[in-house]
Amino acid sequence: MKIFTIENSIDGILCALFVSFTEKIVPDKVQDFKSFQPRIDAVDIKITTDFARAERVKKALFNYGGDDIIYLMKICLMSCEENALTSAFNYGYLTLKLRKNVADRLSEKIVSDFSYTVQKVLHERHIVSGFLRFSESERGIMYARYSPDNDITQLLAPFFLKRLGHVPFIIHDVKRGKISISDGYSIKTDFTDLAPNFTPSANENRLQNLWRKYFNSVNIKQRPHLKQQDCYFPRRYRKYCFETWE
Amino acid sequence: MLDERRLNILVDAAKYDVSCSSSGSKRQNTKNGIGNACFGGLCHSFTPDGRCISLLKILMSNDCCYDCAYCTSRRSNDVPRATATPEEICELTMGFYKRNYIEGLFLSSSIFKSPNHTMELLYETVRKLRKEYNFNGYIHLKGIPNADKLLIERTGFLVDRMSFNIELPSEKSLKLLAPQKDKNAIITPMKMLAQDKYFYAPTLRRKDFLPAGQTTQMIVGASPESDAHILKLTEFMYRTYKLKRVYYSTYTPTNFDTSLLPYEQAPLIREHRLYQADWLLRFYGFTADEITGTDGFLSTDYDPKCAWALKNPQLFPVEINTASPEMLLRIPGVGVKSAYRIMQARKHAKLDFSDLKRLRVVLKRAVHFITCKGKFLGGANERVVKNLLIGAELNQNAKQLSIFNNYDSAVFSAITGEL
Repeated sequence: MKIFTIENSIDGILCALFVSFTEKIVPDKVQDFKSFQPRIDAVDIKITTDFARAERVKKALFNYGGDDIIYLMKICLMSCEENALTSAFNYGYLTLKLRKNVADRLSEKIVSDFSYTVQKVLHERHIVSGFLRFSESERGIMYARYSPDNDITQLLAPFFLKRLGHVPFIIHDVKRGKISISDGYSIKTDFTDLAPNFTPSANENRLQNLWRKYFNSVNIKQRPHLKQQDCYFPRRYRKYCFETWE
Repeated sequence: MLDERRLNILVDAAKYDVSCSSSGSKRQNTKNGIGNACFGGLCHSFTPDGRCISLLKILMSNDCCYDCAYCTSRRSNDVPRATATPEEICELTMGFYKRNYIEGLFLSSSIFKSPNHTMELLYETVRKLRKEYNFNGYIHLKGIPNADKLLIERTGFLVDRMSFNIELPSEKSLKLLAPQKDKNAIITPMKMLAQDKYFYAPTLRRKDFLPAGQTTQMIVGASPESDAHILKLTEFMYRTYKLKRVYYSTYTPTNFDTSLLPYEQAPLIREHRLYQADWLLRFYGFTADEITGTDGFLSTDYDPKCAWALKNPQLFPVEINTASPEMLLRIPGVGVKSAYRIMQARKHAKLDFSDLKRLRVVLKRAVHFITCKGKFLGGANERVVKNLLIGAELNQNAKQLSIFNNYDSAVFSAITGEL
């Protein structure tokens, strides 16, 4: 069994593809070297990231796989799935091997796995953009905490930059210690262990109470359907949706 | 800002409006504005009744001068009354929107003083939101029948979606249960908005006038009309007024003072089946006549597509690798997405059942109606297929029994000794 250990980034994957084609090695698995544990039955090949090589592979992928292939591979890397790196690698490998866009070949396991992983990340981005709850600080900055399954903070921030106009905001992924800060014009994303020092505005409590009241009033008690609520609004997403707290 | 008591009254009266979608509009944020619309819609929360909260659903006033028998806000009903001002609604909408609690506003009202006065208040609210607060989020406005034509038209330029509720599926029922409303007062503005949307398209950008189109809603189970009648009316409205959606609301008893209305809530499965049938009308190329049974009602045992397939066994099984797109859409268990995926995938290779599983086709239903490379894995005869399909449907609704569920009957049983 051959395992490629790489840096967990799109450039890492592209370099792995370069090595795979030049050295004619097809790995069974691709893993992040940070979390890699050597196995007795496997040969691990460490691949260092080289931006010049990555650029060459990127060009080839654009040629054969279309404009959005790198974007889709980046999204795949945001997934929490254990095989996300392997899935992205295999998809790139198949594209380069067949020298055509393979997005339609959904009967191939490699393509369907990749497409499923990408869909899962994009689906979470979509639903979490609704479930995020901002609180206003006394300085007018909107702050939201959340803990998604996938690493989607970078996808969420541009959505809220467009939506909130010039209102500054902070999105904090508590699970990964990742934070996206916007001043209303641009976004910066970084890792942090510290929670921002947050003092709510005078109006914040009142609006939160009104929202709680609204949530209770709009429910039709004569037709309960908790199964549907659980299905569309999984409990793990309710951690920061205070209206659902008992 | 609106206080908790009035918010409670105005939301409680608005909750029976089932429309909650925020889809269909591509409105973008402006330079100094706030908000934009998400074309596919976005849900912000889900209540314990399983419905999504996307828009702030609120009435301007529940102080109604009409006396519709099915409505909680009817004049003769002894309930607390409240009215909000346009300013209060705007403040609340902006406060909620900034915190990402909602996708926009769904504004409706009882007939407060007169239809024109009510429509003026609604217009003033959306005008303030758009022009003074620079709000570019989604706005769905419930039109007021009998209001001035010009006022309705002007509102159409500000909101994303407008709807006039048809309320009941026939004129006879409308006259009986809502004597102050008449069919023409509802149909005429719908017709006008459909014409306006067409008329303004060549001169202005289409997205400026009702970008998300118009919808309507009818109550199911309050009057004796059959599903066939409801679906034919729906089909007619989709074709004639180019509606985006028709919503169905199961009648929930709120008025026990009249013998004109049933005392029990209509079964929720009827509403569910109507929505499934509605989907078939809009996206699957079915007609109302094909879907409904001979008695005029939809089957409660199977979904409408399964019921149609069972009525037409001569058309099945279908070979998945050669079937036309229209026929793929008619296979139970194959939706629009699955049909598209099958079409894409079969260009490159002949598909097998394992491939279909990978494409996420619902095989427990589809397997009885398809062949893959000539192989058939479905039920042996019609009776077996029917039983398996009912079983699949029941399994979806199955839940673990709890010893606390039938507490009352358990107590009764303990007292009487009767099992």
